[in-house]
Amino acid sequence: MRWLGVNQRLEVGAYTIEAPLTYVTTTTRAELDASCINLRLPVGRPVQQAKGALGYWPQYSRISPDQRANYLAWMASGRNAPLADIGYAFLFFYGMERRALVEGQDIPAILAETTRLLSLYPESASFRGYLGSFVAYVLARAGVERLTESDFERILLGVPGILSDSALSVALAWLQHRNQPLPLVLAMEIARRDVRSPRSVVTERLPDQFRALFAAKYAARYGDGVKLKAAANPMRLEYHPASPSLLTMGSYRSSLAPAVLPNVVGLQSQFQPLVSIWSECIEELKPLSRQTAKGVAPHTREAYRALPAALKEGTDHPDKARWDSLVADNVGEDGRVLLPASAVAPLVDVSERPKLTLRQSVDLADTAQEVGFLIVPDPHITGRAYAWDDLICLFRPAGAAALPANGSYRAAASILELGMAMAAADGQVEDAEIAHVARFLEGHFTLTEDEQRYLAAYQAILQHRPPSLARLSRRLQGALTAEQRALVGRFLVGVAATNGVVERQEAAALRVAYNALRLDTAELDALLAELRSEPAAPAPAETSIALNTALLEQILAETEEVSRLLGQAGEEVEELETGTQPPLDTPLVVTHPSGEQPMPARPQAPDPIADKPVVLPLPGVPSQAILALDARYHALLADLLSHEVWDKEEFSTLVRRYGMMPAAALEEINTWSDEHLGDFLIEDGDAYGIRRELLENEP
Amino acid sequence: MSVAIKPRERDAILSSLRAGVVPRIGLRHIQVGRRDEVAAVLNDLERVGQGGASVRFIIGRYGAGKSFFLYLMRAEALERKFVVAQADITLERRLHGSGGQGRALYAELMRNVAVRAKPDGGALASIVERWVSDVDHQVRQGGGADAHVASAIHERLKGLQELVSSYDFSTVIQRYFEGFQKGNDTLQDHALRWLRGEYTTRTEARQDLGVRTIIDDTNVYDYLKLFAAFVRLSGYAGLLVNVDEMGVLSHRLSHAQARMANYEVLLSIVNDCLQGNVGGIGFLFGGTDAFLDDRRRGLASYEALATRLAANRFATEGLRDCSGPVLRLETLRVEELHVLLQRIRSVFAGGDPAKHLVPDEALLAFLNHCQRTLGAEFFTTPRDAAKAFVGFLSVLEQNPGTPWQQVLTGTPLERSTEPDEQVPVEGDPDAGGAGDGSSDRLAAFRL
Repeated sequence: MRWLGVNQRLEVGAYTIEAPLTYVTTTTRAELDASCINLRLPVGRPVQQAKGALGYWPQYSRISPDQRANYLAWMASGRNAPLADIGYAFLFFYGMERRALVEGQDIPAILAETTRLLSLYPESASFRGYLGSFVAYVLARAGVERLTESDFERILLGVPGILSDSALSVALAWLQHRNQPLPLVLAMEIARRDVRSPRSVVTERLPDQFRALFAAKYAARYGDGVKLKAAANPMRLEYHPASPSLLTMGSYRSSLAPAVLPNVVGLQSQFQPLVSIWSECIEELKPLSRQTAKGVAPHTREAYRALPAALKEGTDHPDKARWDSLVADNVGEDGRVLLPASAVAPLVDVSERPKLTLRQSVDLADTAQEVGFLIVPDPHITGRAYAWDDLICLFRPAGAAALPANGSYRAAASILELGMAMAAADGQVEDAEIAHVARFLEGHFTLTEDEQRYLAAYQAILQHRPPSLARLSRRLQGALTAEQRALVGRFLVGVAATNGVVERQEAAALRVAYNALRLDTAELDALLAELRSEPAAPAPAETSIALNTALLEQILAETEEVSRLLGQAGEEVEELETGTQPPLDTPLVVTHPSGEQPMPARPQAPDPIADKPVVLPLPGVPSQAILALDARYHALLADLLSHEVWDKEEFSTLVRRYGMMPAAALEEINTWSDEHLGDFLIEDGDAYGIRRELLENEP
Repeated sequence: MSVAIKPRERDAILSSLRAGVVPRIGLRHIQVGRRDEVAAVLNDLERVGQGGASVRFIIGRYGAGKSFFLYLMRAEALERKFVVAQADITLERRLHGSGGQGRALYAELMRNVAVRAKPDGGALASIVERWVSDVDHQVRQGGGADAHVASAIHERLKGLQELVSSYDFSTVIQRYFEGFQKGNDTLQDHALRWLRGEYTTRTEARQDLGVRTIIDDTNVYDYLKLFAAFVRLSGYAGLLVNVDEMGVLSHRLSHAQARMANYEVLLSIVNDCLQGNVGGIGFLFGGTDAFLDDRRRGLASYEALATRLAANRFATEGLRDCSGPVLRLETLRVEELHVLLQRIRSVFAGGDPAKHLVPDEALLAFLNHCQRTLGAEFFTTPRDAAKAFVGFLSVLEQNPGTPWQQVLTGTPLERSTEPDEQVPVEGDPDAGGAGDGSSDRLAAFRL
């Protein structure tokens, strides 16, 4: 058996293979390598075969002549041709594995070919897993300190699918050895694999947004990246060969001694912040994910609204140009835009109607805010929908567009409404009356600059369209106590008396207001009589509970802490249960009872479910989740998912057929699904309902 | 960061609060404060999970949130893979009795026994089947048959031999498996009935199951220890026993000797847990201040318990010590009620702040409304306020666009009666009578 390297050529039958990188022989000895091409063996013609026809551990000497023709044709193509069965690539890889690991020869050429194959055939998880581990082991055995920066980037960062667990360990060890920051791509990979990270459909449904959000958060927290630390005890990286020849070689274990490298993976606590970022990204992208699931297109108002704040920063609102154009055409000298709702509503696709719904109004206000404007009055504050001819005002706030948040503003706006309504009672709003209201507001409320602008905009609207005093008063009558209503009444009298005279119309309006507020008009008469000698402007004051804000903050913080403590349970249990699972790259195959696998079959009547292999992951069940379920329940779960409802007898029969006990199976599957799918999969009632929506929705 | 709330939890929380009872699930979403107390009990759970034991007395005035706290810890224990047995003390269900009261408490605990996948109780069959299934699986993987499984059950349960009646316990488990093998549901039911402590005569138990002992008033605590050891064998973290309304022992059980007998059981539990004589079991007892402190009728009247449960003398005003067996829950302050309202609002919104039905000022306005209607100390018994607040938000949810101010003034508030006012005192002719009346009271929501 001899090796043919990169500068050699091999001719077998009609096939010429350049740079064969394989063993050839002309003898038929049993201990030859599985990949070794025996030149004496017959070669047939290339054939199309079903996937898997090559078998699990193919050997050149044992495959059929036609399969040899397939293999040699692929080799002759420069190992570039599409492969119907990844087994041919494995067959070739066995030879390189032996050459590099047992004979220690041609390692650079073999690494180059391995990474090339990984790039060419990334579909097979098994192929990726074995080749990734091979590359990692070879690099680790040579010593991470000998790996150059360009090789690190070219091999460990540049080859798609190479990052098996071992390869990731080697990459982290290299970074730690060089004291280099953890690059984003590896940070995401670590978070993705961490058992503490929640699994969600969000990552698959919105991969670009998820990456962008993760990148923004990672950069905000760590700049160039986290600097890694290694655990005190070094890591011993073991290698499990792919080749059946190596596996059956008694001495292979001594040839493949574990490679020692800095144990970065062993210090799990340093990855907790990455898990937190991952969880935050999922939570923040869930609204967008829900919209996407409903079929909402990406560049729409709805999709934009569902974006997390961090992603909105770098994205223009899809309707921004239309809003800017409308504002530019209507802006006044004071920088404000006064328009009827009918002019703005079409921007949110509302066609003419007497009155917008509250939802439409809120949508309008939200959109205005998203494109950078504040809208006055805002239905979030007033709780009222716009009429088609209502006046609204748009202006650009000094900072980010945000609604007045504190209660002071709302109280001030109510006073403003009342004041303007009272001022307009005599048919004209005088400057002195406006000034009186403004002074009152200044004296009694502490408002931010934007809130003042907001209030001024509202005043401009009220000047054009004064509200009905009777209606306002009726509204307040329902919301205020008798004492508070009396204060409001006195304030109104003060507004009316600002110019020194209470006009007849004003007195009449006051009477209407007093009646609407259910106040005694005798008090009004007394006040007016008093005003004849001295004007007064009573200030409303509210008797209320005074909250100790410092204490409130402390309680909130304490409550958050408790929530965190309580929330740890799920994480801890999950970690406990998934920590020892096999790697995801390895497909799991289980068989039903009475199959060849040693399931606890209970011999019974002929079984219709026998011999039906179930290949995991199950459709709709996240692969990480299924790994956390005891393997003996996998086939049962697959059967349960085939119906939406099982009556109790059927359920019991099915479970017993697997040699299990019904209550135990129910508990095991529901405990698992509660942890991994977010709720109980089997609903226990008169019958057992299977909640398939848990599989389709986000876990 | 806001936390999403599952629809199942949201609905359960809101319907329970609306009815004025403690929700069974999702309690963490409406928990307020209590950081030290929660941390203390979580530490206990961790110790129990590692094979230790713990006992805590959750003490507080009416409305301090004892029942809520017990339910909260129950939910957390379930999340942490514990088995939880919960019951309320009544005159017919006590730690000790001579007329079947002890057995009745055990039976109630076993009926309510819950695991994570069966949080509403009735999980005894699941626990037994889970263990038996595991044994069955392991034996069959090794090539064993039914007979081997039966002997393996006895073999595995040998580890419990040091505990009382473990042999009969083992036999009953074996009978359960036998019933499963033969498709004999009756035999399985008999076994469960025995495990639940529902056999009242030995003869009946011998006829049905071939065992000579039953669970009765004298061995309730022993069987709890045995059951705790069994759940540990079954792969659970341990057994948490929650017993509420302990005040019934001190203030409704008029017979002093009967009271002392119950306190003696408590003393055994406290001694065993504090001295490390038992493992894999934790106890939470909920009771009022009077249950603990009353020198004539409470635990303080029993010297041995009084000294063990005495407060740390250095934990005076403003300082708290959560290391002792007694956790005192302070009544809520108005700020804490404010936080509770915030959390209820968040539950309504499914955890999404953008969907809050009312702004912050509505919360303060609501508190003012409560103060005017219920009086200045309304926040010490927040059940009424929480119930009304849920009603308030429900109206707003069903009538979008309606100003909250308008709804608030129409929100009715009623003060509930403090149950302690109805408790008969010593010398009362009704004291110790058959009419318990506590079941209604137990349904009350207390924060």
